[in-house]
Amino acid sequence: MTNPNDKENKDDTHNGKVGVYICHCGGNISDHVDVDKVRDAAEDLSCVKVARTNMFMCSDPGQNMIIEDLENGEVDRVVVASCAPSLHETTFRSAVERAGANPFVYEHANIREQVSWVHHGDPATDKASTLVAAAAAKAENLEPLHPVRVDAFRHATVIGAGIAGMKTAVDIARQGIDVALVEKTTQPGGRLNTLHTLAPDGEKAGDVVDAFYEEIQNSERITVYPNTQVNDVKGYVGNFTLTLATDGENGRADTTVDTGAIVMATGSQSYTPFNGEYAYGEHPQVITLPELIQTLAENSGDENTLTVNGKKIRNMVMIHCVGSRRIPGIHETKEDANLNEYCSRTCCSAVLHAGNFIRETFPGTSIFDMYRDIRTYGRGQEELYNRAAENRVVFMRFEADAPPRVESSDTGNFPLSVTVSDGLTFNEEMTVPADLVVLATGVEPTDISGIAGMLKLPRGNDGFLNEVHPKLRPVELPVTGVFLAGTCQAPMDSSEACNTAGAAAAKVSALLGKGYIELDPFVAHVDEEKCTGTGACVDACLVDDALELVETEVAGQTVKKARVTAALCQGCGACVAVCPENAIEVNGWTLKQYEAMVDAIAAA
Amino acid sequence: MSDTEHKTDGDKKQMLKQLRKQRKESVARATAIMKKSKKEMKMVRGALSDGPATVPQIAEATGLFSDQVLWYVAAMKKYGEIQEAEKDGAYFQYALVGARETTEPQEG
Amino acid sequence: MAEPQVQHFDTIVIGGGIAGLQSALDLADQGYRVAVVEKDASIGGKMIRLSKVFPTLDCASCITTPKMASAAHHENITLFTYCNVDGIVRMGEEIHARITQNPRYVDPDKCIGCRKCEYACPVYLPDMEQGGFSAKKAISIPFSNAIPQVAVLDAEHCMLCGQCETVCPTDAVDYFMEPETFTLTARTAVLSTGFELSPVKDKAQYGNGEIPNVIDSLQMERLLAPHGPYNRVLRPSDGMEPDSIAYVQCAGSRDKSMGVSYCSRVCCMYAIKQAMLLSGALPLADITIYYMDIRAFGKGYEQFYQNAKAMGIEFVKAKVARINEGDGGSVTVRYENQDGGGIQTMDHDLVVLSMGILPGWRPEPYCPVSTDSDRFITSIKPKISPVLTDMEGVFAAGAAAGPKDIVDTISESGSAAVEAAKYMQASEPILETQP
Repeated sequence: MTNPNDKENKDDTHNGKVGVYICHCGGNISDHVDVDKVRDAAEDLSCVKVARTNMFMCSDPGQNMIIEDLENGEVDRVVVASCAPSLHETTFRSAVERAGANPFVYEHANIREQVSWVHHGDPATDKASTLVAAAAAKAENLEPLHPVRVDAFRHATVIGAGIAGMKTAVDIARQGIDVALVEKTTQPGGRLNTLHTLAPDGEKAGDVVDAFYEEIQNSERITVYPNTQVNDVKGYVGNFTLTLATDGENGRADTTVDTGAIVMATGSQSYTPFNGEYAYGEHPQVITLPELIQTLAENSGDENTLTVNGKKIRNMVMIHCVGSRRIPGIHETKEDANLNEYCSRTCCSAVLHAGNFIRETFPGTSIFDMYRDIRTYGRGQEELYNRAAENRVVFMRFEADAPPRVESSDTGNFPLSVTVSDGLTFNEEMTVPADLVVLATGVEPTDISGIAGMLKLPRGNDGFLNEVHPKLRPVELPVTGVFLAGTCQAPMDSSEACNTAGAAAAKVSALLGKGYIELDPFVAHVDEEKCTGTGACVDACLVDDALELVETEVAGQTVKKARVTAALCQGCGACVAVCPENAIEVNGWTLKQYEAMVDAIAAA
Repeated sequence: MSDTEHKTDGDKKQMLKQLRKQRKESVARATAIMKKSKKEMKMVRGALSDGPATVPQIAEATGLFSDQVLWYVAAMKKYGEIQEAEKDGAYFQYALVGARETTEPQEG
Repeated sequence: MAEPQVQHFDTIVIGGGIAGLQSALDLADQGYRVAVVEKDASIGGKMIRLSKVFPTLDCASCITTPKMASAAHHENITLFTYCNVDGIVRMGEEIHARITQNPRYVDPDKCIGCRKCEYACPVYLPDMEQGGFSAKKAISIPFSNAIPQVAVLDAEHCMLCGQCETVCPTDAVDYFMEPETFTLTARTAVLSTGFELSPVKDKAQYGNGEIPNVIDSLQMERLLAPHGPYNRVLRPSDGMEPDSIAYVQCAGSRDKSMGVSYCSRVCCMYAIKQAMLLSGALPLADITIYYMDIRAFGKGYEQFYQNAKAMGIEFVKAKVARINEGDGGSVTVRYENQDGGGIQTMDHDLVVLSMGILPGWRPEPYCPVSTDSDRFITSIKPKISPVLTDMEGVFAAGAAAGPKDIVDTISESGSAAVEAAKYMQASEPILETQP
């Protein structure tokens, strides 16, 4: 690993050649901030050479303004005042680089999220001017920096061997990268192993698993670790070391795997209703959809009527949105359990698919389908809905605050009755006698608190893993080098899970393909002449192994000096705050730069 | 692709004449559109010469349909001739930008 | 600007919307050389024309322009804009795409995008980039964040007055430009040809597009965009700020009479999103959504829907039977209330039709790839890899392979990129990435 920024940076020259570029953002900024005023204020700053505005700085004409000014030697430091840096900082850094300059002589001022979207009128314009002044003051003190280049293992680890994990592993391996595929159960296949046929076209779930099974078992590049969990993670992007714990006949065995990237494909599980939810657990003839699917596999198609638990099913009620789409204040759940406000996405089609199969195979079984909205959104799914109507499935619609009531019954010889206020018949209260009630239970993420904790991965209120950005970086997690695929992110069907798996594989292949990785240079940097080896920085450091004291020879004496492992350093600055000698700084965020910003803000 | 750079001005004039002949229909169509909009935008300008007005007020003053007036107002605003003024009830008023020549594109 | 007659790439991407750009970027980042062919004068597709996007309400420009800029500046990506595809065939180991470059009548190598020509041009035309609500000139830059920033002359509406040529500082205008044809070859292709809205003119019950103040959802995107035609939401008949706005869901979907029996998958969410943006822009306006089922199935979508309800947006479960012109620019909506109200009518100032999604491009007769009864490109392995078509080495991504939202489109595009890469690795492995 090399960190070219470890050499002594030259002091800056204060030549006042900062260029400031202010974005209208098509009105997003200029509707509230007087952009021309901000430009005039910037022009008056001693460090600023030119200040310009554009409708969209991120557009080609906007970027070309920067490039021209740099190429003409008009400016040598650049500030763009626009949206949040998370959106466009890299856009402008690359524009600076295209002009032949170092991409890190660039500073970003956020005058949209931090100004125009939250302030209005003169205060907005004043704040924008202040932020621009601070950014320009810092920019004048910026030094060229170089990315930290680290070697990377051409090896990826996929955690979870469901459909998403298998597809990710195959797709990565076919790009010439080795893969460890870690599965906590005995078999690859995940939730597909529990399914019968798949909506909407009726492919056998087993065939879908088999499509990958042979390749993951036989590929020279894929090593499958069944009965295995990740016990420990060390390292950083390109250079992770995982400890895998495998349960075998002779107890637990640990394996160490060096890997460049990690793909979370830890999947999801079916929601289990709490005791008494729609009489589940209180009555044997109230079952979940996955339980119904299991029994379908056991039923022969010879009979006229479906049999469940040894009972002929004449009337069957299917209830949607069990454990999904719950609304705070209306729905309740058991303590500790998540309310599950989300839609589980796959249940509507799964219910209709199972319903059609039953109506077409066992015409003696009638079906009453109680739903809130039918969400047959995907290709071929609306046809399932139409077919269910043709199959004379009886639809009844209920409101979120008036769910069906499932009760034991002694009327006739039906063991259950379901009462619902049906929105399709002017909210008339209807009671359906039933032999079986099937709950279309939703999806919940599997418990991944262990690995998510080790890697510090963010999860949403819903418990699913949160991507960096749903559109800009949908399969990446904020921990560099860690990706996600499939239903650990959100409910999705097998097609959608496979698409995210492919997308994750594309990102892993691009990351590891070169054999090295370039990281941002904003890491701690030790001034060895000033460092007296107090070790205060090492104690303050929040990341294991990012800082250490090493012995070194100075003028014939052995002394201790702090040393940074750049790839591990998060650039948080905790070390900077505690150093008594001011001997450690974060590149790109030096104390001198901060002082210049504070002075500019105070002067504004 | 024809390369006009090697042609003399005289050659080019001749070629352009030829092209106008070839594209007689589209040239006529474009000219008609231009004449109509020129005339009607003049009417809109006239209606605003005494001060700001709303789209229905401009329509009444000019006899143009109000949707057409709004279209001209949007166009003239885009090209810097008109700016939005105070709101009057449910309608915004529009005003001429004045003598100052606006060259900066407002919008794309 | 003449293109060489034949140019070689690893992958040809047809369609430079968000799907095509994502596939191109994912392939280019792995070292493959990619050609992106786009029919419009700018890349960016439908997404760059949107206002904000659900469920995060990020502005669409903010998400799309970085991808457009990265594609435009990527050393492995070459853009071919304003081009038609005349044919895509497999010839042995290669895909051959026959392309026609439509004439811009402006030399893209000379044009600096200064818009002097646009200001000089005397011909005002409806700007379809702004839903037709504003004007452009017969020569113009397509829109402010278009890539490339090159003017295009509309020869069908050009007077040949010579003004643009006179003012052009770089002599870029060329009235004599002709279409040019050339061939791209590659080992793989990605079809990311997107969608079009089902046309309002086909819907007689909703007025065939002739009722004032009945607009489609993409037009509403422009009204809501910060750099839209009016810079605010006004009704197009007379510039009134609307007090009452209605959405008619499934206006062109789940409707056999329109030939669209499928669900278009995005309309519920875009209507809810637009309703939320409207209630921000016009806090006092009443907003009603007439719907059959609300399909808020993606990550965070249901919560987005519940928030919209909590904000006071009215959801009426009803099938809209007919839309008529009302008094004073209003629109009368006649609907069957499914919650027991029977047939009712309601007047609104502005009505938005949530039109459905149709394929943006029919492969037949240009490309021998199969389509389904829904007319979108057929997937031969819908469960394990929806991007696989029945043409070897040809993959589909985004709305070309069925309606889908941006999130699903982006992951599918990554998936198409990896399938294309797998195909190329299998035929001629490049285990070490090309420089």
